Amino acid sequence: MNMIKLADIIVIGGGHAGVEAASAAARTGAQVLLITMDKNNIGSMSCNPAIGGIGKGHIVREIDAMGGIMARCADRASIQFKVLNASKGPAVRGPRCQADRSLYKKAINKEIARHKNIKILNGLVESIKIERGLCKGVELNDGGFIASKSIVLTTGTFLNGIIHIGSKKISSGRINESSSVGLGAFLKSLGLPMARLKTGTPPRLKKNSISFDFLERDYGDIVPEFFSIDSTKAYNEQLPCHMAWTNRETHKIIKKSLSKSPLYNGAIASRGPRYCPSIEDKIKRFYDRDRHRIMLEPEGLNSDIIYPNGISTSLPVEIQERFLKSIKGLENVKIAQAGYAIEYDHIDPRALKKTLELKNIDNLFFAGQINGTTGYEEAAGQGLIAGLNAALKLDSFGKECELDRTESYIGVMIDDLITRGAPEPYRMFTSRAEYRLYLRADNADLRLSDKAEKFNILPKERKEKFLKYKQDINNLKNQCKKVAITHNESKKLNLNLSADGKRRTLYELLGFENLDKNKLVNKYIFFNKYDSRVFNQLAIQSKYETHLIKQKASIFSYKQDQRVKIPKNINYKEIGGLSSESCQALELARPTDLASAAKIPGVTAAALSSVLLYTKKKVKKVV
Amino acid sequence: MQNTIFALATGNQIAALSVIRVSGEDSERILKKLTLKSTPTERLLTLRNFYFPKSNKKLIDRCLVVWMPAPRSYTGEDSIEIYSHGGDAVFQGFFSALTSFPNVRYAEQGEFSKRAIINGKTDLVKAEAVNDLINALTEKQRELAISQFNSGLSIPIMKWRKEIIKCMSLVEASIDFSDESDTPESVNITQELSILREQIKGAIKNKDYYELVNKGIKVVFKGKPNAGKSSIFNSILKKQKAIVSNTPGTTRDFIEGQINFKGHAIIFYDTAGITKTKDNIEREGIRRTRKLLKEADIILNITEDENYLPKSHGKKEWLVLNKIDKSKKIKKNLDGKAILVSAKTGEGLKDILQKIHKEIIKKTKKFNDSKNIILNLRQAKELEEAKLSLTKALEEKSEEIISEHLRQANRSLERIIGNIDVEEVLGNIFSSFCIGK
Repeated sequence: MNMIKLADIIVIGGGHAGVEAASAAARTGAQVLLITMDKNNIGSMSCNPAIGGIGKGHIVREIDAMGGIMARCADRASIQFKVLNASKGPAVRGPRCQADRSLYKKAINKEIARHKNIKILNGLVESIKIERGLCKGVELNDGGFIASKSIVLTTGTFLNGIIHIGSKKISSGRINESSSVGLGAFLKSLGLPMARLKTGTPPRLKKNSISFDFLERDYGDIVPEFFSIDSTKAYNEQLPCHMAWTNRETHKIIKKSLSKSPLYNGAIASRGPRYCPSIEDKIKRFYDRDRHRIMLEPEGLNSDIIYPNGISTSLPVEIQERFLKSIKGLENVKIAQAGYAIEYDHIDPRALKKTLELKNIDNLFFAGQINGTTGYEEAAGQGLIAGLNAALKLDSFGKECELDRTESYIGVMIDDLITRGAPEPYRMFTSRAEYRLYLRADNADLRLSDKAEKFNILPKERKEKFLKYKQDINNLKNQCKKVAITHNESKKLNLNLSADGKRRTLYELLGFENLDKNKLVNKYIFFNKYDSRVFNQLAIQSKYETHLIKQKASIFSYKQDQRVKIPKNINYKEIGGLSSESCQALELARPTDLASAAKIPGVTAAALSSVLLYTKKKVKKVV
Repeated sequence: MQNTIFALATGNQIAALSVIRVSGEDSERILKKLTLKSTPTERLLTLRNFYFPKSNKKLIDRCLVVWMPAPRSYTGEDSIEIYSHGGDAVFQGFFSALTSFPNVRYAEQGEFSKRAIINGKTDLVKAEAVNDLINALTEKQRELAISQFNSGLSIPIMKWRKEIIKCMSLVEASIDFSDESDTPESVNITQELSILREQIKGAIKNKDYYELVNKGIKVVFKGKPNAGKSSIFNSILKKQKAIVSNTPGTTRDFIEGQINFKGHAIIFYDTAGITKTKDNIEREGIRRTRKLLKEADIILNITEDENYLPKSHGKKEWLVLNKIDKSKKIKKNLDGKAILVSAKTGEGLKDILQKIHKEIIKKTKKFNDSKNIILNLRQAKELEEAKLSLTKALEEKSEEIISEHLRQANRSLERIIGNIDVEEVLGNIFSSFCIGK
């Protein structure tokens, strides 16, 4: 039997959502118990050896802004830093890195170990004890029971996971790990809405079997941009990736074998992501393409495994090997582990609140892939919010931390999930954020650190640093706004603006790309007092200034709709004039306010006005 | 901060009074700035002078106003209602004065009702009843609007929206999937957007046809003093409306007169003759004439001496040779170049009317073609916005900003057809309401 019988918060699962949840809860001071099936897999990267990207990199920065651990660990493990969309505007630039798997795992474990109030338990949770709509603790498969105030469930793809390789089926979560069938059955017994999704991974290749000399190299950025504000240097040797390309022969082999793919012979019926198609999909759907790119990503400094990004597949192993060998540079390739597709259960996230707590069971939280998302970053972002809110349950003030879609990507994600569900695995894109010009990777701290501080999850040293940075930005902005120069003077700064006789403030000029920074700093020496991060931040703000003002107005009207609250116990069937489609959609999502209701597909303007009218009537009666 | 909104609450036909309604936090400040006086007692009709802001007391109108602080107003917000003199010009004055304040804009359709509902001042059922009442008074206009919506208007707008969304998705793909090999590093949608902008431009032009039918065709007289403009004017209107005398410069301000010719409204404007003068009043009259000439659909350039016929003239300008009863020598090579009339005998006046009628038929031919969309002023305003957004998108290089402009353009189009708009859902719920209600 286990020694621990009591914890404030139990986190089930040690993946990206789990560790971030445990850390967030621990930062508030709570006693956390992290239960995992295998201690050695805490912080594993189950798919590609990379963190960040467009949209995803934004989330990692937001996690860092709230004191989370993913950003720091990614910087620790990075063997190649690269900002995606570097040629595009700052709002859509996404920091990304290739991460050394073992270094990442090590960094995560070190972060967890730093928290003396996180205990780790190897174990398999069989069920969760619930009394009168309130969760009480977990029951383990060895019969043990551990009581806790709240629980965060982050079991990823382990619920009824089935791995497909060709016609082979293995019941599992990740490859070589068992899946948690018991917990799945338990969740089903709760009557939670469940659905099934699939995702896939490519085969892993032996590094020494690849002829890299024939392949084009792809290097990272010379000046690395880190995820965490705390990071100051690249910790590891930086490695290139290599590019390989499929060809007609490859496509022919795959086409001939499509019937052997569980995706096409009917063995897998669940939906996979449109944006992350298997190579079978790519060849079937984009049959006119001559070639597809494969990015050969190193799995680590000392790893002899290469991750071929772009060819996830569930074809039989022999065929995987055959088509790989048709590719230039991979003629003699050896597969270390076959690619596979995995099907798994997830809950319909519309059963959740904005805090990621279940709507009908108090103190039970869900985060990560179990909510229908895909990706480490998406999981970690949810983990942070779920872990923090689970911890906030400890005091009786009823405090909650919700992130809004007007202030963060994490907020956009959660809002999308709880109002729209996850008809396909949910991945973050910048186009999902309507306030994209404001929700940037470069200002994540300005957007979120105050909130993190308010909930006591921002480390103290970080807080001081942040306050100074904020103060600096304000000061420099004010100074820049005080100096207004003429068209002729601006010419000396390498600017060629229209000669409209208007004087422009230095702040306005900062946003122009041609501005000669050196000349500016030489002429106006007060710039020297500030570090380049402050300068760069102001330049970006200036560039987007007019659009940001507009977005702020739009945020205001959104927030106004948000203030129209819909009663918790509303009975949609009671409302006259609702179409059955609208009624069903509203019943499923049970939005808390009009702004969320408007986001639900299938809810028409007419339906909204009926809901509004009904709500007003109800409220009046109460008063 | 929420915008303060205003609108003309009464219809914009010529009337003794117009009511302009202003609602929002800034209402009181605006009232003080426009009247340069303290706030009147609440809910009490008060006479005030209204001035253009920062204009050194340039008067807009002297009229009644009522101040209704929140929550005791239609919208539940601080509101003022201005009972100004009627007519377009006065309202234009208020329009420019009000829009000169930051955060003040013309109300969107149904926005007053939307705010009233948000603030719990009314509910949808009541608001709908108000709406029905308004509609009952202007039944024919409503019919016209609905037929526009069903046939002419919505279809091209849906098509344009689709096109914008297509462009947006290209831009978004280049942003969100730039690291994938199958998507282009950058997109070129210049051609698509340019075509779209041209189509929208064309539609905006159609707004003129709407006005032509609704308000009548504007025919403005032009010519040297004493060319007989007022005589022709009077003869056509068959009234002694304009003072006629032998003294050049008798007509100082323009005079307007409308006739109904074969079912079409024609508005004639008799104007001050353009000449060099030291008389201040006459000079102002000439300034007004110039403005009118710009707005004219047809200009009748009237002269009494065939030797003074202008050699060149604008497309919308027709030459009229008056006083043919006096001179017998005319008719040499003038046919086609000028319309020959005699205000005194009435000869030729019918020719002018016939020619104008022909012009109306020509101009409204497009209007009658169901393929062309007819815009009212509000719709035209939205299309103008869409056009502006497209222009900005075409000038912009950063994809993420292009995307913002396209989003704006899309929203403008959506507002016309009253589709759901993510950010302003409520505004759309009530978009069936009349402006200002």
